[in-house]
Amino acid sequence: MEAPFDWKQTYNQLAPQLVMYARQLVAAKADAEDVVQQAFVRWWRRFPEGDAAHIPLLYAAVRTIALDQRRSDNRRANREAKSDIAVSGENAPVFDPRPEQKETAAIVEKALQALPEDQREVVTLKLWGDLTFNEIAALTGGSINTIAGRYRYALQALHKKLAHLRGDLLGETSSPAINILPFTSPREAMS
Amino acid sequence: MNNDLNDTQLENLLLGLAPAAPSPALAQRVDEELKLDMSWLSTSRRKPHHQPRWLMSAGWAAMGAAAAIAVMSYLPPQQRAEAFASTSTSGSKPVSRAATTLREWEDNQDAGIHRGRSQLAEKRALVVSRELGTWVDPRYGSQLTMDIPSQRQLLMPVSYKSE
Repeated sequence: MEAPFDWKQTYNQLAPQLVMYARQLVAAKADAEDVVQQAFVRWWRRFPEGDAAHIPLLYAAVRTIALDQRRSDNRRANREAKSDIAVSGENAPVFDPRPEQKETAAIVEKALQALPEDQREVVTLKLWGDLTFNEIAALTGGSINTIAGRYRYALQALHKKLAHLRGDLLGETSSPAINILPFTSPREAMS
Repeated sequence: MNNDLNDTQLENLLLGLAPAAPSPALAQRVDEELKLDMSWLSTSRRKPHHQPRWLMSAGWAAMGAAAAIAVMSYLPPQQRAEAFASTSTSGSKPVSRAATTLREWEDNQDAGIHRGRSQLAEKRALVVSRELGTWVDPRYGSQLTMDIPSQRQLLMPVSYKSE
């Protein structure tokens, strides 16, 4: 008897966060989706039961494929720059905000983009990927202290970037009408 | 009112922003790729198990060798040596040749003197012998020795000296 083909549930839980993470490593959304497609298919072939314990490996696959793709993209960009062909970029938003969050989302996205890549990667994996510092350290090959430090520096930098909106942001977060967590974390949803 | 945004509030603020959903085409592409996997799995499951090719060749060779031995066992010793030499070589050139043939009598049973159809006296004897044939293939320096038992009835004419 064949195993139930229920990858869609896992995919629906993880795909937005995976694409967001991939977009921290490759610029265009289309490229990020290519990365996620390859990573998810590989991961599902390896773990067809979709066990939540193996989610860090899925992020690791995304990272490996994205870095490979970025290297080949750099080579392609260099070739195209030499031949005066414009590289088409895609500036699709990283977040999918509710109407009242649109302004905040734009500011946060800009603030995230201003972070160094290694800090942005840790913040994305920690907050939206729901990974622990230990898992992020294993994934990126850094020490747990380095990862925790990057996260701390990233939050400090975001504090500064978002300081001028502090009042508005606090107003949003303290409002009981707004659900601050519109989606459950992947592990909670899958467990 | 304290407007400071502490770490927890900042984290909650960030988590409140849901990542953008991927395009529907991505799910479709993943679906197609995984379906390809599943179809491959189902076809490979039904795939019949083929024997290795060398097994069929080896089977035919074994059958040929058995037939050759069966034929040789019905041939007289001289023809047997020739037949072995000719069948064990490829083509028309005989390569293997009979090196030695030893025959030793193991038993001799005297059945006495009788008169045959021509009314001549003849002595009958049953001879049990064992033939040890050796064939050599000079190409490989290989040597084959066969031990062939046989049982034959001998008829020897008997003449009486008239006084």
